[in-house]
Amino acid sequence: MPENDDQSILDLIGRPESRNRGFELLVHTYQERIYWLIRRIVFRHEDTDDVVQNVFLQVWLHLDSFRRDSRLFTWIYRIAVNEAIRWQKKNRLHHWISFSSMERELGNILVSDPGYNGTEVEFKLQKALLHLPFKQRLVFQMKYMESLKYEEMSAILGTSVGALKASYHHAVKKIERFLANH
Amino acid sequence: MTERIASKSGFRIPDGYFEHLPAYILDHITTGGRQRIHAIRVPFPVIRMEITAALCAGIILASLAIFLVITRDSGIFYGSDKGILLSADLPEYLNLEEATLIECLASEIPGPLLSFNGDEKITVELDGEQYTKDEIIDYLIERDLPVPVTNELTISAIINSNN
Repeated sequence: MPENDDQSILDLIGRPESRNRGFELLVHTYQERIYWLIRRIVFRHEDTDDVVQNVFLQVWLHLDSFRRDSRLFTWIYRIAVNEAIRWQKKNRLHHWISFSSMERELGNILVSDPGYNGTEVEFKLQKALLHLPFKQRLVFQMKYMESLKYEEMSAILGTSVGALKASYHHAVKKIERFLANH
Repeated sequence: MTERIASKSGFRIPDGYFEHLPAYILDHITTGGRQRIHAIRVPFPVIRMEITAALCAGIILASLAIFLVITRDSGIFYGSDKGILLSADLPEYLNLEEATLIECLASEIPGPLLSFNGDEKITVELDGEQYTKDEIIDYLIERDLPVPVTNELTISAIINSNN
């Protein structure tokens, strides 16, 4: 999304008479990207829906504190990542749970979720992703599935570009190993 | 074959979800105040006939799979593994190779480097714990510390982060 579009959204939000319209436009503009970021982490549509709504609620509540020194997208994405992490912790699906139990639980979600109809290869890739530490998984998803630039990811995650490149590299290697052995 | 897996990776959403979401969120925020909003429940249609059909298809496919495995082992139909997507082919299918990095930003890595290969264990003196190469990588990544791409890893970063 071009920055001048961000600007028009923020201008609308900045005027009391058009604040609601501006916010609706903001949700409309970013909802899909935020939705898919979170869906790939929490898997189930209903859980994703909860988290997405929390994200936009947080955005609404803190709009006045947005300092505009980063892109609107980057700011919203950071909130989304934080909310996804909060959800992970709340649901005890963080990576320190043994791989087997975590894989089993999320694998069960995929199998039983009527909202998942991936092919065998897609399912295998999802399982491989579950073997990555949470942050590495996030980095892989942002880069591979959402094609974000390292600079954007760096601004969102607060991690250096070098560390992100290395993280992505190692994620790919681990996925390759997983796919070769399973 | 080499195109990336679709970004949505098999997940689907109820029809019309994104059309309703902005107005729904705005409505709750402006009328309901600031409490947590609960999910829009747009149920997926589940039809009994579909389930029955899926079960039948599953049984047929399972039988077919068993038959194919048996015939494959006996060499009846297969002269080679061509046409079967083997696990080893998956990275190529997923186009993961394109993503492999070559560069290592060594300048970002503080302290002396420790070289080792494979999954051998090394001891970090500070806490006496033993880590494999992968565990050290995970440790560094989780703490936003630079991780080299080559086989060389630094443990000084771990020690520094524990101080």
